Amino acid sequence: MILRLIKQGEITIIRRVQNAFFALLLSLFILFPFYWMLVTSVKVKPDVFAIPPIYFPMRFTIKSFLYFINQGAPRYILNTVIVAMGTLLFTLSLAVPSAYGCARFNFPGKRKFLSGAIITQMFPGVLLIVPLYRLMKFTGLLDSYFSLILANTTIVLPFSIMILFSFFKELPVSLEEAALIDGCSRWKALLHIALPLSLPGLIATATYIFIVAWNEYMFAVTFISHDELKTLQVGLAGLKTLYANTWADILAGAVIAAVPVILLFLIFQRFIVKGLTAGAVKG
Amino acid sequence: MTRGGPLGSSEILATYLYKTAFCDFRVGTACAIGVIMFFIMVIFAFSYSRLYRIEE
Repeated sequence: MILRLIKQGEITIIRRVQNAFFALLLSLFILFPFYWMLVTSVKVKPDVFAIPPIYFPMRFTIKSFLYFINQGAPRYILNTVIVAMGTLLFTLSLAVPSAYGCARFNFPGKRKFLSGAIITQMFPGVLLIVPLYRLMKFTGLLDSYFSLILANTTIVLPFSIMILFSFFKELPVSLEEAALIDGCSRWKALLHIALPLSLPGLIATATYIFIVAWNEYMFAVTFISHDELKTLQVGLAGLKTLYANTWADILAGAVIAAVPVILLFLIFQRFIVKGLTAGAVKG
Repeated sequence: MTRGGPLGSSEILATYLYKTAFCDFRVGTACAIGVIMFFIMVIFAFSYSRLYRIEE
């Protein structure tokens, strides 16, 4: 009996060591690029391309950050924030009523609508880029914040509807029915009862939308040609030149671009994981 | 990463579409690539929605 217990204990210990080892290996693969980005952004120029590579630099400088800021980074950051916040507000204002409607009402074509929401997010954004460009040109939206907000919204809307739909579906209907009987309108029931209760879902969706809009590169590089409207990602790509050794500057920009996203994800991680799994199980 | 090189041997449809439209400015060809991509995706999308029914 005791022998068996010891044996079982040994097996679990071995398992644990194994798991820890593979987890460490995997996270090394994922974390090393981040470490390299961080470390290169504070290296002095000669150390960036030193052979053998310098993994633990001794000399530090913030010149690369200053360079990127002088190249117009504050403007780029402002543009990206405007676009991301615009996408966030626009998408939420569309996704919340639509998800709520799907969760509470029955209407013809509802299933088609929802499976459409799943299917459309499988198509890559590149497919839409030529038609969208034509459309933006036709409507005169080219070279404006709104073109990016609109394009980003088309990309994130279906998935946002799916997440919010599964959250609204989980809410007990009786709460809203009570509110309706007491004389609440549908909109009030949605705003005052359904939304506060599904706040985790809302936060998860909002974080997802913000991160996607923040990282969006393809639409930004295609639709925007004025320098003062460029987003951070496009400005970052613009740092790459043919002859100069600009990798430290690029990676300093990458740090600036990555920090908000990583912070957001760390703060709202709980909600995001919950939101995604709720979407996965309930569908 | 490899910019589709050497000689397009590692090109994927998505980057090929983008390059055709906005580097070579052959928009018609790019749209044709888009349509082909669309139909490839439709096959996967429909088999997916068959396997994964939405719960009412």
